[in-house]
Amino acid sequence: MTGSTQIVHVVDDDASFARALARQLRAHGFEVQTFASATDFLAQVPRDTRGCVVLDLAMPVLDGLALQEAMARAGHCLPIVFLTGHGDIPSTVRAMRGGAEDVITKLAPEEALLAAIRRALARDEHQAELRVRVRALHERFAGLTPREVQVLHLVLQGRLNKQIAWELGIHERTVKLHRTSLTTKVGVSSVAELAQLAHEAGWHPDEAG
Amino acid sequence: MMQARTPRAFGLAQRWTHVPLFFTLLTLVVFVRAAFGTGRLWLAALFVTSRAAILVVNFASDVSFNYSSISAVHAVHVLGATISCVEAEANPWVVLGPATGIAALAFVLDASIALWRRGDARNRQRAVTIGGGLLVWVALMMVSGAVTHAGRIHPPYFLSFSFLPVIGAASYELSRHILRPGRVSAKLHATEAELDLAVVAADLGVWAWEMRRDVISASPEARRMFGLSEDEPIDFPRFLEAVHPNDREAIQEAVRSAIRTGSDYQTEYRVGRIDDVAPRWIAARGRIERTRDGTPHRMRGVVFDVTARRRSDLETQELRDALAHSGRVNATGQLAATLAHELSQPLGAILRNAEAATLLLRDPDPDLDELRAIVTDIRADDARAANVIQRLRSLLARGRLDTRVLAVSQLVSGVVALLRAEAEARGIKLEIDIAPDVPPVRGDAVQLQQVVLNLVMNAMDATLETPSTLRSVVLGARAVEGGWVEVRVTDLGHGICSEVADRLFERFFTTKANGMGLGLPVSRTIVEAHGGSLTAGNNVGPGATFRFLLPAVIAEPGG
Repeated sequence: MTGSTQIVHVVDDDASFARALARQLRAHGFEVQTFASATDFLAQVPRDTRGCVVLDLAMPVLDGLALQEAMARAGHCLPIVFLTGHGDIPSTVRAMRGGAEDVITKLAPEEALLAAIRRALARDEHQAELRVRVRALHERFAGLTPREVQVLHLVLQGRLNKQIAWELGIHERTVKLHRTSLTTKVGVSSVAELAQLAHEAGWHPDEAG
Repeated sequence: MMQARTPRAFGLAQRWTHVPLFFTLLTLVVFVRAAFGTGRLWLAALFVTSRAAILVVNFASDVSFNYSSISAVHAVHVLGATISCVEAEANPWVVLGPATGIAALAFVLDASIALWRRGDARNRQRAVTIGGGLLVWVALMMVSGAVTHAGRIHPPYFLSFSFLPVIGAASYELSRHILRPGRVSAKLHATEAELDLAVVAADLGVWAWEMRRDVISASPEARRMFGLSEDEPIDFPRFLEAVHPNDREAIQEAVRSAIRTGSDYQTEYRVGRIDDVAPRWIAARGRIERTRDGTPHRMRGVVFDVTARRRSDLETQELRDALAHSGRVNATGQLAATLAHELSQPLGAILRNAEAATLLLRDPDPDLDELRAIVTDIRADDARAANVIQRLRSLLARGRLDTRVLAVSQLVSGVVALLRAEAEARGIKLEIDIAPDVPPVRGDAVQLQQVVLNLVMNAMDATLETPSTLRSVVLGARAVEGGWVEVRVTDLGHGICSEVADRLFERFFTTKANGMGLGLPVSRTIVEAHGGSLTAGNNVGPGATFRFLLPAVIAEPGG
């Protein structure tokens, strides 16, 4: 279950509304968990949980926007659908700027609500895939020796083998050996492909080794 | 006389002593009259006449008033001096002596009592010291005279101890009178210095207006405030000339009012020409001084510059207005937000539950327990929504009226107390005109005060552009036939124009820049909820009157 199952986390201090929403979402086949407050959510939900959050904008103590910020700080990247009693423009703007998937009213029609939740889950799916890919890339790059990393940086900066050899104070032949070794380890066949993957993995050519 | 060696010389001397004695006693009467300002004149006249009669007897008899004949003269040693005493036969007229003594006693006693009755501590003290001293003297003199003439003792003729108390009393009084001007002048000097200091410290200008001659004297500070040179003569027209044209009428009215009512002259006005962008504001206080017959002859007072205060007042007022308006808007906005949130919770829950139920019912074999739970929740949320609406209604209209029997005067004075400062700031006179026989009404005090407050505020707004002398709002109440109490608010403002009249009580209709258009409709709703009615109309003269009728509470016997 963990990791792969998407859970819709409903956070609302209004128990009746949370129950009704959970009921409806379950009827639509979603996996649902309800939380009576933002602090409950933060205490109970681990960072790598999959799914999305349906969050009441106006709650006592820690409101929706505060939870959004707390989640961002804690590295929670679950997409958020905000629910609001009334279309309060300033909080809507803040919520969207904070990366909310959507802000919809509590009286919005079912379709709008479900569509927003599905979009949020799709984004979570996409983010998860991306995370898996990046993690895999990181693993591939992680096998490189420190010298290979140095060579990789200089390659990404577009230096020729001769320049790299001079800069690192080694023989040009050795540079070639390092390049062959690192492309094999990363599993690419061209410099272009290497550059693409390095970028995806978060490597930047101007970064120092 | 005291050194006389022969009966003849003694008699001659004694005869002539009656002349100074007469004048001494005359002086006494005059002194008492002058010092006390009291004492019956006929008593004084009786005394003086009897004393004069003694003088006549004195010169008509053989020897003197005291003796008809003197047989011998002895030398007596008293206090180291040798003086003469006589053996003699008394004059039969000598009984006149005690008679004048009684007249003197009666006069002094009467004058002292009258002075005592005037009441203040100083007069009482004078009555006791002088009056008492004189009385003791006269009484002792009579006694010693009687005893001497009866031949019981032989004191030297003029060594009468009876003089001592009166001399003591008189010198005490005299020293007080001599010392007092000195003390008073020192005190006056100190007071003057203190006053000067106060005047300088407070930046006061001091002035006095001799009304009959129409001459105004003013201190240099006062002259500076009005832009008048040091030596320019000032009369009332010249003073008015220095005042802002729009305020001249108000000043004249203030002076007239001070003369008429005897209250202090108190006003604020601008100094300068009509086109001055930032005129100086002057506050003036003064007091009328009158002659004995009550004619005002002088007015004295002070002026001070209140421009800074006026300016900050104005700023404060603008700030307060802005705050009040934003407060109202904010309150409405917050109310709407709270309402939306509170209602959206149960309504949202109902919607979500209904949608879930719809989906569940598509199942050919639906989960009935779940459906029952949904219906229960829907009903609970519906009750919750109804409760929110009920709370809102009670918030806006306070639901049930909190009714009790209320005195109309209390209702009105509560509002006046609230608005007095505001009215003063706007230069509006708030007058109360409540008939003495107004019966009480039954109602919610807060709501009815809200109505009166709305009406008075409206009236004050309506008088914004009227000349300052017409800026008055009258709050009246009276009993009206048929068991009603009428409360009315009358202003002398711009009145109600015909286009507005029809829409006056319409919700959200307003003629004010910052108005919400709720005051009058809410007021009418409140009055109608009290079983009354609220109407408006223009006065015959300027302005409008808003009046509402409420059912009067008739006292039930034993009830």
